[in-house]
Formats: sequence, C-alpha cells, structure tokens
Amino acid sequence: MNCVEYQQMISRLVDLELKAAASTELFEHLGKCAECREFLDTMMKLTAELDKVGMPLEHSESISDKRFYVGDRMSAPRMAGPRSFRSRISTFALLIMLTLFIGLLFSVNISAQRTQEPIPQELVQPR
Amino acid sequence: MHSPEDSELLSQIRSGNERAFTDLYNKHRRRLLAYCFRLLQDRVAAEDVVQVAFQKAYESLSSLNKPELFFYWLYSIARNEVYSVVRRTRKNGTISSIDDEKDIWDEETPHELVLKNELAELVQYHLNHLKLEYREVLILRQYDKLSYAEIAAITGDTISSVESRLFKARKALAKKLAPYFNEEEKS
Ligand SMILES: [Zn+2]
Repeated sequence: MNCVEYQQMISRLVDLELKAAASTELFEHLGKCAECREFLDTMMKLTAELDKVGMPLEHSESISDKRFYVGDRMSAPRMAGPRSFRSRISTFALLIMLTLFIGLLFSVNISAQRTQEPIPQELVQPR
Repeated sequence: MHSPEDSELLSQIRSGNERAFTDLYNKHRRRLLAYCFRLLQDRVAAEDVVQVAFQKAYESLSSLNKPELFFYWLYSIARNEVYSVVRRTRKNGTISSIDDEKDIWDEETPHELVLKNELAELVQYHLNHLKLEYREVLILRQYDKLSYAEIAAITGDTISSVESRLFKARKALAKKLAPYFNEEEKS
C-alpha cells in the first residue's frame, strides 16, 4: 500500500469509518511515516477548524418566523437549539483520543527499540 | 436520523392527521435549512429551497415506500432543488463532472481578493469555493454528522464515491490551509 492509500484511510479514520483491522494497519504505517503523520495532523486540524465555521444560522433567528402551510392551517415552528454540544464534543474527543493513541504508539515504538539494544551489564547484574 | 418518530408522524398523516406534517416540518426544517444555506451561501434562496422541498415532500408522500427513510428522502429532494437553483444561476447552466480529479475548485463562484485575517474566515472562504459536489459531501459529513452510507443515500452515489470525494475535498482544503495552521501554531 502506498502513502496516498494510507491517507485515504486517514480520511476514513477522521470520519470514524475505518474498520478496526484497517486502523491497526494504518497506525503501524504512521509509526514509520512522517509524511502520513503530518497528513493526519493536518486532517485533525482541518476538522477542528471546519467545526468552528459550521454555524451559519446560529446568530440569525429571523427564520423562526417561517411557517409551513398545510392546506390553510398554519403552525408555529419550534426552534431547535444551536448546533449540539455533543457534536462538538465528539470532534474534540476524537482529537484527544488520536493524540493519546499516537503518543502511545510512539512510546511503544521507543520502548520496543530500547529492548532491542544490548542492555548494559551493570543494569542487569545485581549490585 | 431515521427515528421511529418520523414513521409515527407519517402514519398519522396517512390516517388523515395532516397536522402531523407540520411536526415533521418543525422537526427537520432548521437542520435542512442549515444544509441548504451552507450549499447555496444565500439565505433567501436556502429558505425558498426548504419551502419547496417540504411542499414537494408533502405532495408526494404517497410515493415514499419506506417511512423510516423520510429524512434521507427529504434531504435528497432539497438537494435536487439546490442543484436546480445552482443550474439556473450558472452562466452555462451546467454543473461540472465530479470525475475530474484536478478540478475541485469552483471557478464560477466569484473569487474576491483573499485578504482574510482570521483563520476561520479563510476556512469558510475555501470551503465556499469547493465545487458543489465536493462541498456537499463535506457538509453532510462534517455538520450533519452523517455516515458514508447515509450520505450516499442522499446523493445517490456509491459509498466509495462519497469516500473518494471527501478525501479529495479535504486534501484540497488542506493544501490551501496547512500553511496557516502552522502559522497559528507558532503564534
Ligand atoms: Zn505514508
């Protein structure tokens, strides 16, 4: 698999549409590819920034005056609240989750590399 | 999305309670309006589209075989209206092919001089300049929080086409915005 394909997986990951087996494969690749790590980072930032501009109607309530006519009856629309807190939480949670996951991945990598190095004798032998 | 409540309201409408349609309207109008507004960037046009979409939905309710899919059906009606509005207002009356990979940016949306101070303004600016076909999948995913399958149900595309458009749209936006992300980090 090449980096473009992994970057497609990153786009799916951001959308929470990536299957578990594929994410294992992706994170393995991320552990050794700086370009794709940067892509993931950019995608996360983009998602967060897009979320910030995603409320075109929040400050304009005049639309609440609209009515829908069924025959000649009229109904008063019920106003929905601003964009749900939950949807913002989910992006935020995803960001944190991924940051933790990548952090964990790196710490695992580093400790894996350490165990491959010869262990200094003075640390092995009891003093 | 396809809450049992929609089906319940639809069955009430079918058994003669027309007022139940206004409940459907109240339930979905604001969200549908936000979707249309994001696509059209024109408040009045978006409101018109929503009214027309509900009107058309009301008139053709009998053709909806699966009441649990009302939400997607309604969205796809609104989407078609959005596309007709765009077609009407386009100089050449066409919407470009979505298969052209290189062509993600909309050349017909007027490009003012980009002098944006805020990152949010830049993001909004570039989002607005994505071609409709790319913008709509991003909007449905990002703001309507729909799954690929749900988006495909609305746009009439395959899931893999939805996925590929999302990827291309994000990649194109990232290319424009990444330098500013880094700038913001430094400041
Ligand atoms: Zn890579």
